[in-house]
Amino acid sequence: MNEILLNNEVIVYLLSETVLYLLLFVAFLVTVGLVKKWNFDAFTTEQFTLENRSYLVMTIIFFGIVLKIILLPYFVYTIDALSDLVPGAMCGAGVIKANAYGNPLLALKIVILFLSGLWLSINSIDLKAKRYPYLKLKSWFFLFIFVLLSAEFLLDILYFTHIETTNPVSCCSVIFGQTGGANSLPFGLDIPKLLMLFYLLFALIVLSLFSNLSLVSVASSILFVVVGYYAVVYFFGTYIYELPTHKCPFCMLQDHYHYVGYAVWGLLLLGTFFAIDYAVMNVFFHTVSQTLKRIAIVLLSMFVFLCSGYVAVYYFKNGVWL
Amino acid sequence: MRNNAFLHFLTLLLFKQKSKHIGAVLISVIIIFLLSAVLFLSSSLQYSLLSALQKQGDFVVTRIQAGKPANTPVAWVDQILGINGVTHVAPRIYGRYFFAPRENAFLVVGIDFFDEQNNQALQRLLKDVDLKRFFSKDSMLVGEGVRKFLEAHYFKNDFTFKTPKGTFKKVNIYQTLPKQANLIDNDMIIMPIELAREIFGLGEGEVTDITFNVPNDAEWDNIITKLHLLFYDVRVIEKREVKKAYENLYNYKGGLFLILYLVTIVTFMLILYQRYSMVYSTERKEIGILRAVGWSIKDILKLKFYENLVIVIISFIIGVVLAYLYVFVLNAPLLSHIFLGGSNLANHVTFVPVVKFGILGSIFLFYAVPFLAAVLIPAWKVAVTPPKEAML
Amino acid sequence: MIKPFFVLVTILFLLIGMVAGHYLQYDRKTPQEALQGISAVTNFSSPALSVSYYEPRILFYETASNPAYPQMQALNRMDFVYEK
Repeated sequence: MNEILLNNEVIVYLLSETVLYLLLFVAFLVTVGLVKKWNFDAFTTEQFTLENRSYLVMTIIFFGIVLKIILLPYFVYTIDALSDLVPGAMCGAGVIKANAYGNPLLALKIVILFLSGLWLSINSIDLKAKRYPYLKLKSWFFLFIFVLLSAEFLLDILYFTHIETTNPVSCCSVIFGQTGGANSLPFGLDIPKLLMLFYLLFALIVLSLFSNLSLVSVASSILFVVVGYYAVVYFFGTYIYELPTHKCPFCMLQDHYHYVGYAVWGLLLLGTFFAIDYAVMNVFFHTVSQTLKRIAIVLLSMFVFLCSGYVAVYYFKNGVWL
Repeated sequence: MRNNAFLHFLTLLLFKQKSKHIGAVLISVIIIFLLSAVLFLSSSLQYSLLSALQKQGDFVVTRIQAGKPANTPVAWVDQILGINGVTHVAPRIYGRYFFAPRENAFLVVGIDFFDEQNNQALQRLLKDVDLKRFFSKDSMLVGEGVRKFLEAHYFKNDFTFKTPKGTFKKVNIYQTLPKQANLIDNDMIIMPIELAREIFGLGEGEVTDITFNVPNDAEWDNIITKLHLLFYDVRVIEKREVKKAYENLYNYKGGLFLILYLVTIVTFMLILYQRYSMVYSTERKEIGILRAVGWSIKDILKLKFYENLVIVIISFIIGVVLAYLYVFVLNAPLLSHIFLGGSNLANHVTFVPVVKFGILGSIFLFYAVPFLAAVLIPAWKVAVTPPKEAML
Repeated sequence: MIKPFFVLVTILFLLIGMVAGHYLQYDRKTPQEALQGISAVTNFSSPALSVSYYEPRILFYETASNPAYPQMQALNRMDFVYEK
């Protein structure tokens, strides 16, 4: 038996995912029935049962999504804990690269969280209306998410069963460092341009949120996630580690850096999610929620301040830039 | 306290249906208690071992003969000293002394007391070691467990060792090693290296193994290569290997334990599912009344969800706190035997509290997810009963 | 919130507070210094497993098995807990 599967965290993680998947599978079956037979204007017993069932689906999905939100940091924590077992790995970066399933899995998880967050928003406006106007839409949407969830579950199992404890993996300094000599930033950017883009995009999101330019803010948010990722890994991270050569998105999740990585990535993902959520709700459903907008702006500003704060503190302490 | 109507009703309901919840809480507390006690204990042991390891020498070298460790020539010490970058080379004799009448064994460690580094370390460990008095006759330092054992067998001030040659060697008990270090020195006897050589009957110029430090860790791999070039029959144990081993010490075993525990969790889920599917008529009526006075299905689901969440959190807190008290205040009676054994000298270890956030999170997920998942569908079934039907 | 529940929550918080207090004020330094003192002197950091004479006492240094004479292992062997 694979030694990885005997790790405490992996067992807990896989158990939670399995239980969730089973529940969501029930929700999937019920939703298929809903989509087929839903007719709000009918006064049949069947329609009545369907309405009741829609509550079951809603509860399960709500429960599932809340747990998925908790399980994402837990997954990262698990990966980090595995770095003790996999030879050569100093942090999660090596473990996630241990086989080809790791990176798609992590990306898929984030995409699913974004989509299911949107589902929650649609659900809440659907419930507020009297005639369940978006029920068909949200059911189809859930069916789509469920396909992704199945893929995720499959990847989960494939990923954890295929980590070798005998093959050494590469350490983060090899994966992210510039040992290859080539510039690893996309679009031929260099660090100053990347930073300019980072702050400009942040300003653009805030401005577009305030002036209700929804499509602009969706586009800039998605770009901001990408640019923010590269900025943290290749610039701000070096100030967190206080080492110009240390470029890694995972090491900052360790206790040596006071688990600050969870705050950094959490703020970035949540902030952009709320920004997108606000904009999508605004465009497609014409509901404007001031709280969503405020939360998005506050979270994103906290993210930018946290990152810049590390740079500023380093400069004040040492009087030099890295 | 601020009085929110929903919260008021929720707590009122919880206390009114006390008997319904008490069973679930009890089982949950037991499950969480057992699980967290084991995990707390292993993480505490791991923490202490890793901190002890920091001061250990970086390398241990022994001679290997026919695949088994053999006595190492003392002459190797000088050869190892000749390698650049090596410091603190110390020969060591250790072995287990078998006390036949009771079938018990002590770990006897002979070290060079005149070595400067050893001497400093000893002074730091025992504040008032007087080497003159120590060497005025054959003396040794004994661990807490050894002292108790010897006292119980009327060896109050000295102990007589039997050497392989058949002669007897009386050794004075000089002092007890600190009790706080019981985790590693309980059955240990520390004595001068010559004395240990005599007791174990090693030849002149022979030791068990040799330890040394290499302060520059970039040189470690280099040094190993050099050692293998110097000697052909050696085994080198590196500190970083031991460290890795300590880090994974409880990984697989803890995992096996958790897999066995899965059975319990699944059973518990089934019980919960059954328990919550059996809806009593009074409860049905309650839900019916709530629906009749205008609660929507969503409100009732919310009520049920919070009800179970409160149960989960309360049992989690009680279970973890009980486990904490059991392990770190009572020092885990019975359970510590599993981790430290009980077939030799009795060991009373005080466990240093170590609670990692990750472990708490794992325990919570391991228990809360199955719990809430099991009650979700039954709760929905109750919530959607039509009010008219329920009131009948 | 009704009163009994409030009392319950207060008790739970008190419990957590007590545990947190115990955890924070615990003297980690003395045992750590003692342990490190022992390992500095003897170069051993293996836990003092209370094992029978024929079992390995130092983790990962020695193995007790006799390849020429395999035998059924006793259940209380510490190898069951600490096997690599």
